[in-house]
Amino acid sequence: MILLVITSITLITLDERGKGTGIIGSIRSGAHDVVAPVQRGVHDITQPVTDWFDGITSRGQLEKDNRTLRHQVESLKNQVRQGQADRSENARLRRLQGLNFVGDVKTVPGEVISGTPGNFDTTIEIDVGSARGVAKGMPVVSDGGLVGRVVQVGKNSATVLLVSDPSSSVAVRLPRANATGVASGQSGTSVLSVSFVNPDATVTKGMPVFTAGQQDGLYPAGIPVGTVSSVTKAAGANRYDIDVKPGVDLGRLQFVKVMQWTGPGGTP
Amino acid sequence: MIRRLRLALLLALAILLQTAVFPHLRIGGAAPDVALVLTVAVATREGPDTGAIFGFCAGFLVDLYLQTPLGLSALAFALTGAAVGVLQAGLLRPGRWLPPVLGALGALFGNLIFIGVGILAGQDQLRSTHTFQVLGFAILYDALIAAFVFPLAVWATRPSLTARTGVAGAGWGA
Repeated sequence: MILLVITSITLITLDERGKGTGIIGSIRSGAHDVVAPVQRGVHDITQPVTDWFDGITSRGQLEKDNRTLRHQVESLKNQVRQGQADRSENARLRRLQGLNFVGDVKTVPGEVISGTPGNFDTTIEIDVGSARGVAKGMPVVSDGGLVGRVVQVGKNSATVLLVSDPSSSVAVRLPRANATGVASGQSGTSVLSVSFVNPDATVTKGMPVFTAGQQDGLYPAGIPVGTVSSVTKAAGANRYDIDVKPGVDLGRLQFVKVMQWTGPGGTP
Repeated sequence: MIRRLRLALLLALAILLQTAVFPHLRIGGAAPDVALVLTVAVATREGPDTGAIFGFCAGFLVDLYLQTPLGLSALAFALTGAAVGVLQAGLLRPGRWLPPVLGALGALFGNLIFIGVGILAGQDQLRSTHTFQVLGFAILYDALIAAFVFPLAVWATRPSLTARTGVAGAGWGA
């Protein structure tokens, strides 16, 4: 038992010091590669089952003696639902295709295949990895703006730390207020908290927030982060309390793009 | 040997369920700790030593899929396995209520160690009221799945055919 405790503490210390690189990083990447096909399979299986289940439960009140017709109606309804889902998916993909804020940076499109297995971190698994040029540290975006950054890469999958995770910090800019700050995730909510904003700046609700792209920053400049959802400044206080609602619905992500941005210094 | 193989198979299944299936089935923001409940079930059957070793292996595998430091779940699960094993050896009597109660207690104990050591290791995101809200749902979820996990642990830890001529396995469900 003592041996197990000592081994655990050694692992924790090594991992914290190495920041997930080296052999521990390689072991983690390998483990993700093993599970990714299953996650992909479960995702593919659950999607049509959920659609089918929705079809059954929302069928309505049709007469019993019209069984054949009812089946036909149901089949057509399912086709319509499938068509609507396809159109919606198509629209999302087209929006994703035309992201203007990524500029000249190459992107790798990916699909979300799973969430985190744990209860205390906020990550998603996507179906693209190092085989497609995805590397640790790369920013991940969707049609609404910033999603997060890659923190773990396997060959065909990657883990993305969402911008709403409490350990995530993003240098942001509020162009209309001509101010900068740092947006951090908060526990239990997708709303970001922005700190270090100049108290003399005029910040109002609804203002758009973008990544600042500061030197040695984790993200390039100009990616939409969200909009100011609440702003308070107590009388006499010399700081703002600003909340930002992300432009992306982080709980319902389906398609994302990984920006092959390697940072201002050449490393992500 | 066959028992070890069955336990390894069960552990692999638990990890697949935890990483690929249950992230889609969250309740109140919480997914169940399948591997932790399995550790509790194995420790109940096998005692503190096997419980601790199984917990360490299960926790280590779970750690590979988390962003928290590697070894954190391994430590929490190993201590939970040992504690449940000791409890089983000295105090517990078999009963239908045992799986959900032990599942909930194991979840509480294991997660508190995870959160406590995690905070000591610099995981400041664990310092929030939300952590304990999620913990509450996780405990309920773990109690629920314990009803399904415990019978699987009984299957995995039952004596092999040759060993059955000797003394039958002690503990829950024997």
